Amino acid sequence: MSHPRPAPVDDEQQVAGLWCREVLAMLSDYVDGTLSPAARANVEAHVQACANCARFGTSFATVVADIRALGATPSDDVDTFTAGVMALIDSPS
Amino acid sequence: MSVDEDHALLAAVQAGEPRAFATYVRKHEAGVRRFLRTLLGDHQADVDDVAQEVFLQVFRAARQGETSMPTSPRAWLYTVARHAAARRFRGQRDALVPAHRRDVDDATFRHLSETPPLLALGIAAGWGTETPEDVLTTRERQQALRSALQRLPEASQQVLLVRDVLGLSGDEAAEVLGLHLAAQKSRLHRARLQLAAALREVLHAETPGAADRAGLSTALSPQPSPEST
Repeated sequence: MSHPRPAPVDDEQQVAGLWCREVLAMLSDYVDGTLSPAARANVEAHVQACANCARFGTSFATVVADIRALGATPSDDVDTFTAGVMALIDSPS
Repeated sequence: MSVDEDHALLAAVQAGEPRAFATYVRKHEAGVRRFLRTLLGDHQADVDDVAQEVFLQVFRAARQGETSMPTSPRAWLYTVARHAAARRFRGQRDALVPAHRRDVDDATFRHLSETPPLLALGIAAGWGTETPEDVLTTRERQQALRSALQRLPEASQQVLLVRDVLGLSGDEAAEVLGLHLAAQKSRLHRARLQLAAALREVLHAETPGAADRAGLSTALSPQPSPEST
């Protein structure tokens, strides 16, 4: 027996064999490139036909791209910190 | 390439060139200190001490040739950091959870528990909401993103940090966080949705009506913008 699924949006739809919520669950795999080619094609077909998933998918992918862009730039005190570590290494233990 | 560089630097240390370690420290100090900040909660004053311990431990291991084994020096480094943070406050229950968050961790999202969690997170993140696309500058986005990150539970911050900010692979992140790969993937996806939801809150707080400006580029499906203002 299948579980009833709440409808969070009036226009949730099934496209390319996927419901919107299923696309939602696959977005990280999509942006990380870990979907199978077939699953990726289904997501893309769904997104092309579904304005909600296109909009949210774009927003989600942008958030992921933005956090990746934060990166790990050297700290302002990188020289001081590195010198401190090297001094510890050089000191007799 | 980065992994090869780490191997080369640590091999140089093993070969008796300790100065190579300065390059290694410079390369990783920001990531390690940032990771420790998410691990050490209220004990931010201890971050640099623990970070020094971490690098000292790595140096000693490299000098003794122990680093020829790990396939991922990055995963090994951050695992050393996680263990060092845990060791620092061993036996002190909740010591690593900031006081102001002990009762509210995840509370931000608790009110959404009546619906399936992932779906609820998606809805909180704006899924199913018709909103116009708009554009924030990169700087505005990054400032909002940093504020949003601070609002997330530590576990979510950690997985976002190691996967998206530091760029570790799924396997590496799972090793560092002590999770199975599937659990790591699930945590990452939820954390990204939490981040998107928190970003909406930040943007709402700063600029009423701007909450959905997080959707900015055409990363998934290029479409002509319906509105420009």
